[in-house]
Amino acid sequence: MLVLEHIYKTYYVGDEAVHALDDVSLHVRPQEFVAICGPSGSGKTTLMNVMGCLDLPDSGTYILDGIDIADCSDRELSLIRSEKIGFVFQQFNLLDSMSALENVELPLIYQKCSQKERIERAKAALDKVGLANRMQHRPSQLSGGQQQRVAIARALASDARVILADEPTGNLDSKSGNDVMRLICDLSDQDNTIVLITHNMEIAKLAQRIVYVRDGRLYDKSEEAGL
Amino acid sequence: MTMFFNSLRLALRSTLANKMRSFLTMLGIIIGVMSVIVLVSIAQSTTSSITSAISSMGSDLITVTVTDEDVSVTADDYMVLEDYDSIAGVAPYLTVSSTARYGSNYTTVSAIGVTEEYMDVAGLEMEAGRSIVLSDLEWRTYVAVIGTEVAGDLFESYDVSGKTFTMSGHTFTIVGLLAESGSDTTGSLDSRILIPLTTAERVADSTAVTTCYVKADSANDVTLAQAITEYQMLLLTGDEDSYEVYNMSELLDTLSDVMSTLSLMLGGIAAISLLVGGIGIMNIMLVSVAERTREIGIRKAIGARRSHILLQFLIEACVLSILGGLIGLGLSALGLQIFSLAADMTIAMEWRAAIAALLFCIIIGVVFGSYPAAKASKMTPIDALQRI
Repeated sequence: MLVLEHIYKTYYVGDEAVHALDDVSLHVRPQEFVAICGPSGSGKTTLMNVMGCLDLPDSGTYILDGIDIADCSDRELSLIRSEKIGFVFQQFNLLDSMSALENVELPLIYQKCSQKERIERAKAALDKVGLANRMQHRPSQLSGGQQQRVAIARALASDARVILADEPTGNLDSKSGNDVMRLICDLSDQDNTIVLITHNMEIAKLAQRIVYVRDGRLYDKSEEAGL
Repeated sequence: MTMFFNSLRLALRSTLANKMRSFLTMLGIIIGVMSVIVLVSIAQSTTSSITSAISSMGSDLITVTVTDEDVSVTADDYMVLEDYDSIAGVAPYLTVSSTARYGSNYTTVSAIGVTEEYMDVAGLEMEAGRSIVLSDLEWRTYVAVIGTEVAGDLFESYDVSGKTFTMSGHTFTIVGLLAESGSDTTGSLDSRILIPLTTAERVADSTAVTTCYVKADSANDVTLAQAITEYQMLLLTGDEDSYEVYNMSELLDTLSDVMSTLSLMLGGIAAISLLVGGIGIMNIMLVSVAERTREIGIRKAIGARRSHILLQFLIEACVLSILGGLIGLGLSALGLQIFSLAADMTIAMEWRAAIAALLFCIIIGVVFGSYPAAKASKMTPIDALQRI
């Protein structure tokens, strides 16, 4: 499903080069639930940005669902983000001016769905995350856990092949965090491909497979990474 | 197309979400549109009321004025012009300013000594009674045909036939009332009193008639008739500086030239304020793009293309400018109504100016919205998301 081969990504902070991704290779199989675990600054968010086609690697190949990202134009990358990837961010990233329903509809607008289909799919997705009775609420009227569930519904509504979750519980209390993780585990059971990024080992253990990242390099075992 | 309507809905919503800011941004456009429409409309209405007043005096009318006091031209001298085919009528007239009295009422009038042809040549209509006829001229009778304003001032009634008034020491009997004809640039046309030319000569104690109307046979003959008149006047006076021959249509042409230049200039000045309003829109759109960087990032992350973001901000700029334009249009319609009432004249909205101003608004929305919109669309999703 996701094939990353020898990915490099270097940032420059002032004159200093930061090797955020240093020869990273990772294969994620369809319907797999992978957790990427590492301390802050280890490069895991950069890895997610590359996997989510928000950022392009300096070198290496990334093949998503059979498409080589290096060959894609800006327009094609937008299409991939729209149809194949659903994002769940640490800070939810919902639009405050819109209701929960409209937020979930948003990716469908860019997929050029008809209004009827859009509302149906958005409602179904909100129903799935247990927010059927909160559709008309603004994000500011919802709790953190509810907001994160709206974000998950948004990722679901677009029928994405891959759900990329970057510290989805990072801004939540433990109870809401557990609810959100239970939802993500449910989605995994329903054959969604999920990549979870976290620094929390407890949460990472819920995944089928854990890879560790430290200083831009991937390790299969936590000892190898020195964690 | 759904994309367009979604963007439109979104733009309307964000315009309404920041009511104060949107209003202040639109204010520049509103004032610009209002000044264009109101100024041009007033200029056009004034022009058309002046030109219609002038053209009602007849564009086939040629006016002769003897300016040199030493040259004496009599009424009969002018009559040679009648022999030409291109000239339909000749009406020498003599104006005597005087005061007309009736009882304790009095009014300042211009008494015009006229021939029997004057009414026809000058295009005047009778309201009641008869006009000056040939026998009045032969007998130098003290009869008068008066304007409605004179009738109102002296008798406070339009039923004036047979009544008498005194003027310049003579008693005149009223035989007719002129139809109302409003006013022109020289003042009210209804404060005229027509008396026989021969009577006027006696009152003025002079046979020199300094003014004459010459009516061309048709509008096509005006140029020829004017040339003939000029030639005859040269023969009569022997000095081309001692008289003036001019035609209303010339005056009309000059006037409408001046007025259209004037209204263009007014429109142009007002358009500058529209331009300034457009810069205001660009300014606020740049602020809006900066404020909504995170939103742009989110939208891009969930699949918005460059063109989607571009369209969203472009439509938002256009909504601001077009909404401002429409409000400006409404306010100028209202303003013109109020101005019409206050100035006691009808001022029609100049639709061409209104349409031009609205088109200009759309162009402003697109032109001044495209830079901020392009700026927004070119953000990379990662940059946009990280700037919180």
